[in-house]
Amino acid sequence: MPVHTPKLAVWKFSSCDGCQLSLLDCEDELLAISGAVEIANFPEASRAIAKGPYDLSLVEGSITTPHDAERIHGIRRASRSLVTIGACATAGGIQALRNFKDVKEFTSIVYARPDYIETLKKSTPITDHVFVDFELRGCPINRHQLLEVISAFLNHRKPNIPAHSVCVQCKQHGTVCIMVAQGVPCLGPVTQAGCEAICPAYGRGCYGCFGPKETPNTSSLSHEWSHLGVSEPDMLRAFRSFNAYAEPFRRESEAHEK
Amino acid sequence: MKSKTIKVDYLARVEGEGAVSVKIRDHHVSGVQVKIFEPPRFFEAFLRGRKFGEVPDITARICGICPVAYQMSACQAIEDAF
Repeated sequence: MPVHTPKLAVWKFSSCDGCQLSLLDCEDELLAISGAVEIANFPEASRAIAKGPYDLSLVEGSITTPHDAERIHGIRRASRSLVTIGACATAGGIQALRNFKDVKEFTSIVYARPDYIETLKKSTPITDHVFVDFELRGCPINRHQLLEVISAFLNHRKPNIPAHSVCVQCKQHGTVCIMVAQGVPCLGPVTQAGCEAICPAYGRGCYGCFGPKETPNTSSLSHEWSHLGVSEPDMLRAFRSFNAYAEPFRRESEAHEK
Repeated sequence: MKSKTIKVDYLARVEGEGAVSVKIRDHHVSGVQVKIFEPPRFFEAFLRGRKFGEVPDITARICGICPVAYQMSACQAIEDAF
């Protein structure tokens, strides 16, 4: 009997393509990946498309159109496991900033012919529409974590992706806390690790690319920030970026809305 | 008279979903149609009210393949404004 080569598919919804690019970015590992799986649907890499069903689907992007809200169901049906990758797919992305405003007004100021534009009032994560087996966070995702997730699913094990904060990574790297030592406002204590804590290492506060960590204490962090002299509108905008619609960040930004 | 149509219903290896159709008549292109079905994301709208320092981080998310182009144009626009 021939050995079954698992089929990998990559799908795009409303997004910037950066997360799926992380897969192509695995330059040293790419040959090993293509040896282990059949890349069956990945338009960013190739026009060659193989039919489903697929063993593992990676879904990038959020749901923002009626057509996409339908399309995701077909992808779920054709996929044994479905993993969402990136802030758009896991939290609605930067385009979820419309969720706090009137999308009709947005359409009228951006497009000369708003009647050509078909869009939903809200940008929502994939998990609001179908069952998701695993969510990989990040804006963009970390390619090493992506490899870990692919490897875990192909070997039927749980992915080893820590849900702790960016602070833990600063400690691991020996980066002195910039909030304590320099008074720089940092979202690190409430943001999930995965970025290797790049920004604090360069003296810049974390700005939340990886979204909320497990059980984040956002109100306590805001309290700290106010001692550093950060204004209410600045705190609102800090929580309202790439992961604005992730529940803990959404609630915290709304708490600063006056 | 010879005519030919080249239809690509999903453009690969680019950011942004789209299709293109090229009509050729007697070795001359007689018509080109581009269809963009990438969903709108409204960067121009939600950038209003942000502090200028936040803009390059946000515009970098327009395209994950060429973020630097959008960061640079945001920086140049900000420099022009002051």
